[in-house]
Amino acid sequence: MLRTVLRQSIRRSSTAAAAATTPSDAAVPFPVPLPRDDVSLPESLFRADRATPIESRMRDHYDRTLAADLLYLSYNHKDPANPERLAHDKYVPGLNTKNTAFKKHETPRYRDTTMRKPEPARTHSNVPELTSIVVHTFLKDAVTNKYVLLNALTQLEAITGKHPEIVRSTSNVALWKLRDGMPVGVKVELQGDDMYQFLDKLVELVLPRLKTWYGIPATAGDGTGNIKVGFEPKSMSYFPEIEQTFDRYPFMCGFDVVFKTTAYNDREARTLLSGFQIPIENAASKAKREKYMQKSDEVDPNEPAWMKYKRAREALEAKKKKK
Amino acid sequence: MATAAAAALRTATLVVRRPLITPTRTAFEQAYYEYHANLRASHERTVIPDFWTKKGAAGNTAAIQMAVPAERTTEADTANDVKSLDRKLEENLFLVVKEGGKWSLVQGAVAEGEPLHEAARRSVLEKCGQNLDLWMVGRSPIALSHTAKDNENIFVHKAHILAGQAAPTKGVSDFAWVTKSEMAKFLDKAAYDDVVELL
Repeated sequence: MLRTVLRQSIRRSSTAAAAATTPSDAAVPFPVPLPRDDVSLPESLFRADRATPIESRMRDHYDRTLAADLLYLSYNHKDPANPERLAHDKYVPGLNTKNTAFKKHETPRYRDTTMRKPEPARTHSNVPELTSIVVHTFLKDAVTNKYVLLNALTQLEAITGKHPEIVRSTSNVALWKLRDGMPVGVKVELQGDDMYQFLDKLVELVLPRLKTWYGIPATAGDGTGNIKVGFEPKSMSYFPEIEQTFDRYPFMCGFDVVFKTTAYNDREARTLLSGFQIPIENAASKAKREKYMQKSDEVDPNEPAWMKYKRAREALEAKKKKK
Repeated sequence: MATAAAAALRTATLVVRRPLITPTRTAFEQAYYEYHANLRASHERTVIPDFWTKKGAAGNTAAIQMAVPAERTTEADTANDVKSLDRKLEENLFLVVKEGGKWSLVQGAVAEGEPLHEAARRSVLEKCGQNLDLWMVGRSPIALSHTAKDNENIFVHKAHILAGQAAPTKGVSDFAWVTKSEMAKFLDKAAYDDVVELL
């Protein structure tokens, strides 16, 4: 195409040169403009801000099994057309304080529903659903050295697959040398299939390996359907992405995982998470577990001497600590 | 629906074995997921190994052993054993029992003052053996049967089987774990129409 155009232009110019008396009579300007067409360069179809569709067994489980069960568990049989908070979800001061689902510090204003719009009734198309998971790290050391956040950034990107964003401080605390606008944390929000992939890894690989964590407390939740679980730095190394490349990271970061849901209260949120195989621990299950693990104070008559001295020493230290 | 005064309460339990494997993807779905996987892979951040490992260092060169997934169809599928819980892994399986020559959900009477969900659970264990690990979906029933006689109300409860197998006793001559499409072959028309929306 280009060669033909150039040849034509040369011919034209040569004939024009022969005929024309001035350079301005040349038919074709130089340099030769290339022929334009309407096809532009292809745009990248990859959207980093959206979740990549991926086969997700957690999503399949929610769609096929959990959603129906959650409808049965959250449906208001009393008066579905006129949704009102169920008695056991409503906090009435002085009346249902024995309900252990409520935290002791809750004030009537926290639970006052008179000025709140009633939420839409639960139906087949409105069941509690997991909307997003936020994985967040806060590093105290970032106040003195912001480059420690690079470590947290790479770790969170490795475990979630999405590039995290920096969280900046919004308050000034002179005692901690904290100022407004300082980068102190890292967070990444996961939605859709990315979220379900992360949840699958957490439930199958990380939670079972935690030695001292037995479940989300039965009092957990912010009251509007979101639940946060904190993890110590050791838990980061249980993710396969970190485990495989452990030596690349100077140190492990602890992190929180916030489950954001469309549940209306703590009970619905805990039920939803329980459906994804995340254990919930209340006083009864804790008692059952401790009984199973047989944490007893009985003394074995045939115990070796070193055990006897150890217990005596520990009792003495506990006494001193109490004082 | 029968009047409250003269009605006797009965429960029916829809015992479900949930799907154990992901659904079979259509050719279009497979192509769709493959396309997006390739798109994402082409935009992934690359790792430069020389940056992370010193020259001459062994590095983590062990090949990752991928797990080989099991077959999607089992022996029970090929033999079409309707009593097996390992059949039709990607679908829900529902328990139907044959009582008095008629196939239906597991039914039972409710004792005086007994909660409905407890009566439902008890009747399944009594009629299908104690070797069943059941989880009742809440305390509320999921439906009221329209095929009940005039003097009785039958409330349907949903339960999941987590482990074990049915061993029919006490008047139950046969049982089967069937999918939604197979249910019509076992239940008569009235009973099937009553239950089909719950499946």
